[in-house]
Amino acid sequence: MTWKTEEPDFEVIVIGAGVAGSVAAYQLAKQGRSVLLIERGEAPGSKNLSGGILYCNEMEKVFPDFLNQAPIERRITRNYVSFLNQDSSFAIDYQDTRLAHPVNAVTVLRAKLDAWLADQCTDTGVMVMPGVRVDAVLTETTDDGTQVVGVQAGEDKLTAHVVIAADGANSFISRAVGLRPKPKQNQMAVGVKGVISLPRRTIEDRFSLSGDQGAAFAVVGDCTQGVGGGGFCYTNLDSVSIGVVLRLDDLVAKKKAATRVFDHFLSHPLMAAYLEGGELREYGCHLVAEGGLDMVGDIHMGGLVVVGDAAGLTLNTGLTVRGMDLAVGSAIAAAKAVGTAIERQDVGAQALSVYRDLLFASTTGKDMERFARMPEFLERERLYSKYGDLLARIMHHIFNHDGTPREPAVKVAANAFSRSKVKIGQLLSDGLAGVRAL
Amino acid sequence: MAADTWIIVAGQPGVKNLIEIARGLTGQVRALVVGTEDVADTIAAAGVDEVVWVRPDPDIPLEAYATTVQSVVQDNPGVLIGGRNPAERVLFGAAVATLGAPVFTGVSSVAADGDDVVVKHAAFGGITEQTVVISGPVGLVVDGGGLPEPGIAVAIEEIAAEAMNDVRVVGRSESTDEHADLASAARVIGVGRGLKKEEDLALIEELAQALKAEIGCTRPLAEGLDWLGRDRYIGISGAHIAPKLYLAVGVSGQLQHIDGVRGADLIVSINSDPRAPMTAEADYSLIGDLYKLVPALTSALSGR
Amino acid sequence: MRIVVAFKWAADYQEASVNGSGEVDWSRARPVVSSYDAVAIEVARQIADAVSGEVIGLSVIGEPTVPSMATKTALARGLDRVVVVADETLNNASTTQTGEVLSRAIRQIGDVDLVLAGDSSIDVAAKMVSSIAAGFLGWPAFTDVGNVNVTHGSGVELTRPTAVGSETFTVTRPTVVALTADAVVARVPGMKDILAAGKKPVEQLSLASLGDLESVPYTVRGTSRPSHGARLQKVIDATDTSAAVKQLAGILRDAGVS
Ligand SMILES: Cc1cc2nc3c(=O)[nH]c(=O)nc-3n(C[C@H](O)[C@H](O)[C@H](O)COP(=O)(O)OP(=O)(O)OC[C@H]3O[C@@H](n4cnc5c(N)ncnc54)[C@H](O)[C@@H]3O)c2cc1C
Ligand SMILES: Cc1cc2nc3c(=O)[nH]c(=O)nc-3n(C[C@H](O)[C@H](O)[C@H](O)COP(=O)(O)OP(=O)(O)OC[C@H]3O[C@@H](n4cnc5c(N)ncnc54)[C@H](O)[C@@H]3O)c2cc1C
Ligand SMILES: Nc1ncnc2c1ncn2[C@@H]1O[C@H](COP(=O)(O)O)[C@@H](O)[C@H]1O
Repeated sequence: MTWKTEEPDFEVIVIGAGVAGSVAAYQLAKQGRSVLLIERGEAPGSKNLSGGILYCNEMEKVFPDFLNQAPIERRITRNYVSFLNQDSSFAIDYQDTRLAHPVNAVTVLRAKLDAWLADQCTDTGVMVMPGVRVDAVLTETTDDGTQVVGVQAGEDKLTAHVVIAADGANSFISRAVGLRPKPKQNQMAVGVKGVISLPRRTIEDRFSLSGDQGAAFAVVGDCTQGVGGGGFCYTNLDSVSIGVVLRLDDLVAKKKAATRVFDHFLSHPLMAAYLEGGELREYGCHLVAEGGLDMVGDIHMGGLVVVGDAAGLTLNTGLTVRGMDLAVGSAIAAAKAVGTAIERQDVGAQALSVYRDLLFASTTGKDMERFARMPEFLERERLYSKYGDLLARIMHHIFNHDGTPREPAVKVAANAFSRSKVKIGQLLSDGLAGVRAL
Repeated sequence: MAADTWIIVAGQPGVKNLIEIARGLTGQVRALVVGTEDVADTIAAAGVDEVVWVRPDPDIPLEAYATTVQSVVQDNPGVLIGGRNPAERVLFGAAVATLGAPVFTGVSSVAADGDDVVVKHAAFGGITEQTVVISGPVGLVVDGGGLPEPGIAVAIEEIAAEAMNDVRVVGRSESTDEHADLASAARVIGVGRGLKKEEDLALIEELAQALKAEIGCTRPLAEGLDWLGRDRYIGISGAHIAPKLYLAVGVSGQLQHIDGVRGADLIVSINSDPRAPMTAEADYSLIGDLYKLVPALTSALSGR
Repeated sequence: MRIVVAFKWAADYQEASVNGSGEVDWSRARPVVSSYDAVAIEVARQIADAVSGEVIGLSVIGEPTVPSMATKTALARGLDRVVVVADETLNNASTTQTGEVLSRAIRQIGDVDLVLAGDSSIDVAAKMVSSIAAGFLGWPAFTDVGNVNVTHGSGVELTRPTAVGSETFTVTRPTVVALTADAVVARVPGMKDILAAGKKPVEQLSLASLGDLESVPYTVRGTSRPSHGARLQKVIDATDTSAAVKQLAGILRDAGVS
């Protein structure tokens, strides 16, 4: 049993008002706990790279009317997978109005979503405190080992029964208490993302959308200039979120600057055509944890649980980055575990281990396990450098009517193979690995 | 619109633009001068129809004559025009309050429309332009624009001035820094925070000599870092310049800064970040380290 | 000594977006305590601490209810209490109206010795509200002030620039002072400041209680996107310093500016 009888400043202190932190704080306040939510940004959302696709299922467990009340941009009904070559592209277009009923994925802008989440917190009684950066957690040594008992920012200290670290991919808090190691370079990717304004009508025309329908592009090939990773492009109401996610180790090894790769992607003819006349409204870089299940490791100790990106809960499925829904999933598990622990007046490591159990019993935990091999698969270099080229050659042959008799597609493919530097064996192995990773 | 226009002059006669705007309107142009006799004389010869002069006590700040200004303008609610210097803004603000007139800054045109006044002005730091209609008196804040062309002088009517109580001048200092005249310079180099240390200004000074340019800067260098005088910073709250060449060195090109250089014929930027907003605001951008490029440019320019 | 600080809860216009017809969208720009005004609060706090005075924040907000963040953030910066005039009809209030409402509220607060303001707001940036408020009050005002010191009793000493240098004044009566951004370094509120702020008094004055306004309204007939001369936007690669510099020197020569 680990419990302090003297009343702390707050029952729970949450560090970081991103998706994970806000949802955890909201739920604990709903349970009647006194909660402080600390955010280093001037306002919740101000520091968070905006945008992305949110898979709503988890969010709807917390906010049943999420789709109608939250500031969502578009409902994704068109998914494209594009293979880029120097100046051509080849896309698989999967559109299905069924995707919109019920909606599975929506685009969001973090500046708006995080602000909305913070407002929900305030309305539920959470003390939301932006503009404060937590410098350290306060610890005490008990019979059960180290116990986290509060936080420190500047000279001020505040105490709590439980601290929730929701401080994002670079989680300094969980590292500082020795809970989690510094992520390895090959477990991290760097995301460069921009938001480009375009008139609503233009977006609807260019992407063939109507109403609040949206399109999502996942792009591989030339978009990353051979660096492990991929590109994406999502439509918002009157802007487009576009960016690249690049493996940090590969970027360093290839001596490429992430911003240049991003520029290159934007100026690719395929992208340029969609973006023409747009204005870069926001731009930023952010780390993405993509070590998969391997990276999760320890996520609780006495008086502390770690949620969201801070707990390494991101999935790079090869074509998409998923993190927000996992952040929500972990926040749900954490709020339940922490609430119960406080109720039972035991916030020691053993009591909080319930969080881990709940997490891995949930969809979030299951998904992390299902995609466990993805990171390894994604390290296969030819995915980024050669396949785009290969597919483009095949397509070029098929679609380029140059007067010579049409060759059967199989022959075209074989021809293209022999010219590209990909061996058939590799293709098979990649295909297999990809399937296994799924 | 028959109402007259008042120009409020405080301490210095560089009000060319104010007079130009006033002349574009119908009605008499009257100047209310709070300043020395020299200032009143200059304004009297600047093409106005009437000058009312308040002779301030040198031991009392110009600002303390606000109530006098109020009593002069209250009889004639028309258009009020004032400058942007500290004392100008205070006397103008007092006048505006007396008439309850709305005020607009960044004015690009004013026209009478029946009994109304139509003003086009840059709003919200210049991100948009608004056309507004006012059916009463209106105040316009306008950039001084230097000395007006001298012409035939009108008579000056001196009025008795009563300053507010309990406000005294207790000290004056003249800055040792040579007074910058960015507004009339043909070439201006603007330095920004890309410069790492105050000592490095030497590099810029050498370039300025080679280019025969005046040195200006962004606000942080003048307010905050104090590396250069306040009269040298360019932008919405600083100087507005219109040189032949504006060379921005280590300047990110934020809107508030750019607002001051829109009048330049040619804009060149030296910046290590290709994505700096300055690149879009320049005719030519050298993307690279200023510490390499500036000395090289200096010698390229002086080596000929 | 009773000091009032006029502070604006506003969003930086650099974070607003403008569409093709010049309409401004503020929805993505988050309001903050205007940066100059944070400096004014700090100066007021320092003066009040030196002479054991009181610092009252005063804000005019064009919304029917006072956003709690607005008052909390300002209070955390060192105000003792806040008075707010919040009214929907003040949404897009003119600079003159704002000045007039401030002047009425200052009278209502009563016994005010010193009003501090920022030199400029971060959205409208007219740099006029403080002088206009003083005009309505019939008080002296000073703008672009870099420094305020308390001299004796309720008197202050302040310095503002002139074309050739600066002048220093003493003022021994109620006055309005607008401060530059570098007058002092505003503190970053700590957790304890923010928690304490939640417990400080916030008073809301109704617009009606301030009486009828005299300021003349205006209407916006239209907006347009500013048409600045388009720049060439040519980028010269400067990896080769001497080649790049040579090219630029040529351009300057051709343009007749070197
Ligand atoms: C380029 C890119 C594209 C992505 N695309 C998608 C996508 O399409 N779909 C998807 O689901 N996910 C996507 N992700 C992943 C997703 O953004 C993250 O998984 C998600 O933001 C995690 O939420 P979080 O709350 O855990 O962390 P964050 O959103 O990072 O929030 C952490 C918060 O903590 C604050 N903070 C940090 N340290 C401190 C401190 N010491 N004191 C106080 N506050 C602190 C930060 O300011 C921040 O607000 C993408 C990521 C990147 C980089
Ligand atoms: C209400 C208000 C009014 C304002 N009014 C004004 C105003 O009138 N005038 C004004 O200027 N500002 C004004 N500002 C401030 C303005 O917003 C910017 O903060 C300021 O202009 C930025 O100055 P900077 O470009 O020097 O610095 P930064 O924005 O820090 O930019 C420095 C630049 O130098 C580049 N650089 C760095 N190292 C090197 C190198 N070695 N070689 C080459 N380049 C390098 C960087 O890439 C960067 O682009 C105002 C702000 C507000 C809120
Ligand atoms: N709505 C407001 N409420 C309180 N003070 C304001 C308001 N608007 C402007 N001010 C004050 O007036 C100063 C100058 O504003 P402006 O004239 O808009 O540049 C600001 O720095 C504030 O101190």
